[in-house]
Amino acid sequence: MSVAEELGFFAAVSPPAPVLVAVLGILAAGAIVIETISAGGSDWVLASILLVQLFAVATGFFGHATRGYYDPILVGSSRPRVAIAHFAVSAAPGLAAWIVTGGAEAVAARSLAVPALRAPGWVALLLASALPWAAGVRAPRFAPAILWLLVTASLLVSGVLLPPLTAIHSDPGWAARHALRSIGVALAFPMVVPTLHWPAPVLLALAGIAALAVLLGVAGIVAGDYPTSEEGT
Amino acid sequence: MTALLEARRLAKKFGRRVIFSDVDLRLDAGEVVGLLGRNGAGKTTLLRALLGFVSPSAGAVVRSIPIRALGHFGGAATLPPHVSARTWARLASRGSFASADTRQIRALSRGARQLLGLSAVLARPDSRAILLDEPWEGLDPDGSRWLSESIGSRRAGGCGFLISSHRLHDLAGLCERYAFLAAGRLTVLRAEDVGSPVGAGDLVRVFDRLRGGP
Repeated sequence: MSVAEELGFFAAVSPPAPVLVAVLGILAAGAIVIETISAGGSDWVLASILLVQLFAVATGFFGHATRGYYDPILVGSSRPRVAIAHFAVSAAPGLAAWIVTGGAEAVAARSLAVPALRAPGWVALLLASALPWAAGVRAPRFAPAILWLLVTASLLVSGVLLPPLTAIHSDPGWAARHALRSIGVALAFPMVVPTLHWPAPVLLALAGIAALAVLLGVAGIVAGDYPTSEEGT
Repeated sequence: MTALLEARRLAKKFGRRVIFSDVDLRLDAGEVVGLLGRNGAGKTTLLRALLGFVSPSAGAVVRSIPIRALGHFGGAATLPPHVSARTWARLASRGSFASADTRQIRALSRGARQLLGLSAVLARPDSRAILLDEPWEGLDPDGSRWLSESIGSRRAGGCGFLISSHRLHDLAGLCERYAFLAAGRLTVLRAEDVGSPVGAGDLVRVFDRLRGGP
């Protein structure tokens, strides 16, 4: 199969949930309206896109593969290409919404140095795309995002997350002095990444973690066994 | 002759459960091999191991053809119900087969789903080896005849088939060799060693003998 056929296959057989794609479209359209009215007012849209993306990319792989839905692509392409195509299709709607929002921000600000298009913005999108996708390869649809929601909510409620968040927000040098805690905050709550100050080593570490997650997801698909559901039980 | 596809001392376990072991099987160009066994004998697992979907616990699968030259249909249940028939026809046949039916697969009858899946796989001209799992399941007499004729036509063009089926009347007379999977062991016999001509009764008789039954 060609790359276009592989992408077309997953877009037809296991696209991100239509309701989430619609929400991403509404958010992107909203960002255009907001930026037209008030430049720089759509930061909350970026956070919302990241939140929706966490769910949109967690499409799962093994569930469909062990039902046999992916048989034509598993027999027609190399496994690494299959895995990358699956990731690309899963992440595409969020990426598109991100680019539209970033474009609206850039036009309104007459600058490319806007939250969506600066390095922290791209790193946040990469984190929100890579981690749930990789964690979801062997999990049911949405499971990693629901787990993330529960963990982050409990961290927020218990007060563990608030002090470092406040510190990063109020002190631009805090993240550089507390790199490991900063990485933990960004992983637990990627929605704040685009609009806060992060030193380059922290951003590089976060990007590295996201890249590693994608590699692990690809490796999981490449090495996976795909018996039909009733065989392997 | 180089085999299109060959299993060498292939074995598969799920946990401690041995599905099959020491399986030797080859599929040559232009031949049809029938795979027979009881429900749960491991026929589907063997097909999926040959396709590379399931990694063997021991042994190896050797292909002399590129992976894209393999065709496979695992039955109507393996078609995604939310995809339209037209889309699936295009995707699974890689553009070689078109369907005008825009209904979702879940809205099709069982026989229509089976025909859709088979038509898409058999339409691909680049397939050199096709593995089919219970292909006659759900087909009416016209569909069954179409399938048998399509297999014969593709075989004449050099395509090899490995077909797992319980429909002994359809399988009998179609195959050059028959592979019987019983108690985790595969026994492969040439058609002339099963019967001349091979009938469904011959297949039952040989199968019963191999598994030590009546």
